[in-house]
Amino acid sequence: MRPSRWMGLASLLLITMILAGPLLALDASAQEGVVIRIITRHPGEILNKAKEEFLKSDIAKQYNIVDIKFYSFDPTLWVSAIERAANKGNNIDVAWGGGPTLFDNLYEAGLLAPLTSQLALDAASQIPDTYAGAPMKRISDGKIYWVAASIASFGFTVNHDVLNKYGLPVPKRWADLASPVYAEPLVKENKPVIAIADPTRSTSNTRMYEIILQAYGWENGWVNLTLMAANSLVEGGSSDVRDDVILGRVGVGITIDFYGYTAMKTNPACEYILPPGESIVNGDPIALLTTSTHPEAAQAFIAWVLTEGQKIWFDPNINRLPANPNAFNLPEGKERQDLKNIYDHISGVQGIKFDDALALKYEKGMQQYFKAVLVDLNSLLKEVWKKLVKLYMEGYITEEEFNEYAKKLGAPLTYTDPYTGEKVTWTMENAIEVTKKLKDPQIQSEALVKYSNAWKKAATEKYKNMLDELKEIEKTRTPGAAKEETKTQEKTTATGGVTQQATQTQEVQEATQEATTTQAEQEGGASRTVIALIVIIVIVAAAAFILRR
Amino acid sequence: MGKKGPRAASLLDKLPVDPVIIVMLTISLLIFALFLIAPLASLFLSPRSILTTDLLKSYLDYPYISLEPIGDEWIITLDRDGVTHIIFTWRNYGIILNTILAAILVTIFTSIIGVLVALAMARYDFPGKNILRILVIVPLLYTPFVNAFVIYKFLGDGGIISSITSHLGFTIEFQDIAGMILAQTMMFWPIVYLNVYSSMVQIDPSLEEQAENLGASGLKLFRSVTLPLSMPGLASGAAIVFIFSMEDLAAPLAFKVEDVISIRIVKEILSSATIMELSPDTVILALILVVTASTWFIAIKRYVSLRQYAMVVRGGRWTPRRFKPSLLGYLLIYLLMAPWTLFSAIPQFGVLVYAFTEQWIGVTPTGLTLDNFRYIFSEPVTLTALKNSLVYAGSAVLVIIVIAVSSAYVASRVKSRLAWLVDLLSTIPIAIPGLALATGLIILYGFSRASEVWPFSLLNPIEYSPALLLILAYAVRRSPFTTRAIYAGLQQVHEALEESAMNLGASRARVLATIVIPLIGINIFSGALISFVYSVAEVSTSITVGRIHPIDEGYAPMTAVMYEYLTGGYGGGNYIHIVAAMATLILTVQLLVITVTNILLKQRYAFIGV
Repeated sequence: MRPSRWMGLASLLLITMILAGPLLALDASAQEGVVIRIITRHPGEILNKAKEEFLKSDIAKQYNIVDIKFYSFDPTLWVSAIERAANKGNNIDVAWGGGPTLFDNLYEAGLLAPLTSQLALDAASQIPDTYAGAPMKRISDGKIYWVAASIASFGFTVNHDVLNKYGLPVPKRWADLASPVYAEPLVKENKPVIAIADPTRSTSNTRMYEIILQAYGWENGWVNLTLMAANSLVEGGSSDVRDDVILGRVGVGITIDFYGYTAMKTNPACEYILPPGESIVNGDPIALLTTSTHPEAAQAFIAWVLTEGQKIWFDPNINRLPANPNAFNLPEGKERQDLKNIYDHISGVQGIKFDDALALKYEKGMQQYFKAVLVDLNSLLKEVWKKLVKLYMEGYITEEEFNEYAKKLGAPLTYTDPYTGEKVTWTMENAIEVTKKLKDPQIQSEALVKYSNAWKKAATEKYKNMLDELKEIEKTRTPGAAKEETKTQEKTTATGGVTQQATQTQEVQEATQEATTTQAEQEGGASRTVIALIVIIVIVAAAAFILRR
Repeated sequence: MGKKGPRAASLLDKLPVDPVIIVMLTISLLIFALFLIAPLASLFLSPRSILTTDLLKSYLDYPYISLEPIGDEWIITLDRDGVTHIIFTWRNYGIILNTILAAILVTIFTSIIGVLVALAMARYDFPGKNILRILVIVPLLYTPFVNAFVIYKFLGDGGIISSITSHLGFTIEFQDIAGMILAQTMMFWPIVYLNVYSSMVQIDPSLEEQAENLGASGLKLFRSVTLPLSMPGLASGAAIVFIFSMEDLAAPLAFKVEDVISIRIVKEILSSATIMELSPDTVILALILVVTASTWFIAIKRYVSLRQYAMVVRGGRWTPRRFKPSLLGYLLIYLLMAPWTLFSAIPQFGVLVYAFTEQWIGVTPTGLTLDNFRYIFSEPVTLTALKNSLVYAGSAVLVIIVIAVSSAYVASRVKSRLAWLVDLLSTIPIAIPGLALATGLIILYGFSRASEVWPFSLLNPIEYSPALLLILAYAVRRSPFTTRAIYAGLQQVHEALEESAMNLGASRARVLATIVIPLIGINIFSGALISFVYSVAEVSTSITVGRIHPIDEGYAPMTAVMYEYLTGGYGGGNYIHIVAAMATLILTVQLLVITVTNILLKQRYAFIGV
C-alpha cells in the first residue's frame, strides 16, 4: 500500500482531535454567589449527600451559597494544604471530619478560628460538652474552636468465617489482640489473622494506639502494641484494614465503628464489636478556619451540619452517630431506633479515661517510633514472635518464661540518641522530648531520619539477639520438657495483657499439641509430592542453564 | 552540547551542516538530556548531603539485605479438616535481595515457558493453534494493577482454585513474594515468547536441515542450533522481563508484599514528598533499581552481541519448517501448554468480571451491573482523572511525534556519532525503571536548586500542577514505540527519492514536509497511537509524580487514581470493581488501537520488545 499525502494530513488531524476533544470537555464554570471550600477526611458518599441536602436548604439560600467544594488530603498534609490553598487564593473555609487529633493539630498550628456568629453558637450549644467522657468541643478562653459533628467509637470488626475456620475466639479486650492465641495460624501457616494500620497514615489507628498506651500504661501498653503488631498484617490505611476483614483476608481488624457497619452490610459474616468496658468515643469535629474568606457563610454551613444536617448520618449507607441528641427527633432520626439504642448504650458505658492533651504531646514521636520499630521491621519482629510462640506451644519453655520473653520483646527500646550519643530509653518523657524535635520545622526532616535509624538499629539488634537466644533454646532443650513444669506452677501475675494471654493459651497449647502429632503422620504424602515438584523444577532450571551455554 | 567536552570534536565528525538536521538533533538530544539523563544523574548526586557511612552501612543489614533469611520454609504443608493445604511462601532475604532474587526467578521461569511455547508455535502444526496464538497475547493487554488482583483471587488465600481442588483433598495457596513471582510469571511470559518466536521464524530453515543431515535431531538439534540462534530474542525478552519484574507494583500490591524495592519507593514518595525532601531511603533504593537494571541490560546485550548469528544469506522465499507433533508432543501441547496459556489469560477475563459485577467474595461473582462504569463517569475524582489521562497522553503524543520523527530521521539518514547517540537515547527508555526516573524527576524538578531557576521552576510538580512534568515523562518513556515505527517506515523509503528532490533544488525542510512525512504518515500515526495507549496506561511516574498532590486536587491521571482506590480507601467496599471498570476502559482503547494499526500497517505489532 502506498501511503499518500492526505494520509499524513489525516493522521495529524486525527491526533489533534484526540487532543482537542478532552480539552474542550474540560468545563470552565464560573458562578456567582458564595462558594464554600471545605477540607475533609470524609468519604465521597457523605460529601455528596451533604452537598445535595445543604444546597437545597433555606440556610444556603439565605447566605447565597451556591456551591460547596471539597478537598481531601492525607492527615499529614492538612496544615501545608490549607496554607498552600490560601497562598493560591483558593482559601479554605471549613475543616470537617478526621478526628480530634487532627483538629487539635490545626488548633496548635493556629489555623482554627473561634465560632462567632449567633447562628453557629446556638447550634453548638445543642451539642453536649462531653459524651461518654469524651470532649465534644475544644473550648479555650471561653471560645469554641471545634465542635463534634458526629460521634465515632473504636472497636473490632471481625469476620466470623475466618475466625471459625481457624477455631479462634472473638476478641473482647484490646489486650486480646496481643495474645498468642491469635498467633497460631501465623506460626503454622504464616498467616496473620489480625489487621492493623500504620499510624503515620491513619488517624483512627493512631487514636487506638494512644488509647492502648493510656489504658494499659506506657510500658505495658507498648508490650501490647508490639505483640499486636507481631500478630498482625500491618496495612497502609485504615480502610485497607476494613477491606481485609470484608474480603476474609484476616479475621479481626481494628476499626472505627462506621467501617464496622459498612463491613456488616457488605459481608454478612462480619460483625462490629465494641470492647465492653474499654470502649473509646471520639467526637468527629467541624471547625472554622482562619483562612476563611466567607466566615459568615462558613459558619452558616457549620450551623446547618450541627442541626438540620445531622440527618445525613442516618442514611443507610453512612450510619454514624449524630453529635446532636436532638437529631433523633428529626423525621429521619425517628426511623433509626438502632442508632439511638447504640447512642444510649455508649453514653451509659464508662469508657477508658483518656487524656487528649497528653496524647498530643507524644503523638508524632509515637507514630514514627511505631512505624520504625513495628512496621518497617515487621517481618523480623514476626519471626521472633513466631519462634517464641512455637517454643511455648511445643513446650520448650514454661509459661513464666514465655511471659518474660514476651515482655522483653515488647518493652520500650533502649537506643542511642542521635543528638547526644547517650543511651536513652523510650519512656513517655523521652517520647515527648523527641516529639518536640520532630515538630520543629528547622530540624524535623533531619531528626526524623536520624531517630528512625537509631530506633531501627536498636530494634534490629534486639530482635536478632532474641531470635538467636530462642534458637539456642530450641537446640538445647527437648520439646515438652517445660510443659510438665508449667502445669504444676502457680500462675504468676504479670500485669495487663500478658496475663490474659497466658490463661488463654493454656487450652490452645494443649489443643495444638494433639493437632501436631496427628498432623505429622498425614503430612508424609503431601510433602513427598512437593519435594518431587521442586526436584522437577530444579532439573528444568538446570537444563535451561546448560542449554544456554 | 558543550558539556560533552573534548569528545565533542569526534562526535561532530561527518555531521552535515544542515539547519534542519541540526534542529532535529538539538530537539531530541535536549529532551532526552533534560528528562532522562539529568534526572538519573541527580539520583546519583543528591544523597551526598544526608549520607553518612553509618547510614550506608545500615543498608547492608536487615531490612535491606539479610543473608540469613527470615523464615524457615519455602513450602508449608498442613492438614486442616481432612484437607491438605500446600502453601508456597518466601524466606525473606531483605528488601534488596528479595527484589533481585524474585526478578531472576521470574526471568528464568518466563524464559523456560516462553522458549517452549515459541518452539511449539514456530515448528509444529496442531489443531487449535490459532486460538492459542490469540490467547498468548492476552496477558500482554494492559490492565493496570487489577489483573494481579485476579491472580490473587484465584491462587491466594482461600482462592478459587483451592475451593475447587479442596474437593480432591488438597488446596494450593501462594503467599507473599512466592505469589508475586507466580503473578509476574503469568503476566510477563508472553514477552519472552514473542521475542523468541520472532527470532525462531527468522532462522534460515537450511541451517536446521544441515544439522539434521549431519545427524542431529530432537533435543540435540534444539540445543545446538535452534536455541543458540534464538538467543537474540530470548536475551531481549529476558532483559525486559527482569526490569519489569523489578519495577512491577501490581503483583506486590495484590499479594501484600512489603519487602520489595518498588513498593517501598512508592510508599516513601507518597508519604514524604509534599512535606519534606525525599528520604535517603527512596533515593538509595531508586539508585539500586537503576544500577541493577542497567547492569543486567548491558550484560545481556553484550552477551548477545559477542556472538555471531549465522542467518545465511537471505533472499528468496523459504518454506518454514512445520511438523506434526509426535504423540508425546500432542500430550505436552494439550495437557501443559494449552492449559497454561488459558490459565495465564484468566486475569484479563477476571478483570472484565470485576468490572461488570457488584460483588465477588468467594467463588461466584454476584450482581451483573453497569454501575461501576456509571460511577467513573459521575464521580468527579474519576471523571477528572479520565480527562487528565487523555489530555496528558494526548499532549505527550505531540511531543513524542516531534522526538520520534527527529531521532528516527537522524538515526537513519545521518552517519555521525551524534546520530548514533540519538539512536541509543531513543531506545534506552525501555531499559530504565520508571520508578527510578520518577524519583529522579521529583528530586531534580521538585527539590534541587534547578527547580528554582526559570523556566524549570514551572515544572515543579510540588508547587504547581504536575501536568507538564508528567507529559514530558510520558513522552520520554513512551517515545520508543513511535520511534521504532517511524524508523521502520524510513527504511522502506529509498533515500534516492529525497536526494533527487534536493538535486532539483528543494530544501531539506521542504523534502521532509512534502516527501518524507507523507510517505511515512501511516507509520507516524500508528506509532503515535501505540505510544498514546501506553501513556494512558503508564504507572510508575503517574502514581508518583502524578500523585504528589492528593487525587482530589484534580491533577492525577487515571492510573494514579486506580492506585489510590486500591490502597487509599476510596469508593467504599467495592473499589476493586471500580478500578476494574477503569482498567476495562484502558483495555478497550488498546484493542481499538491494535485493530487500527493492524489494518493500517497490515502487520502484527509486537507490543513490547527491544
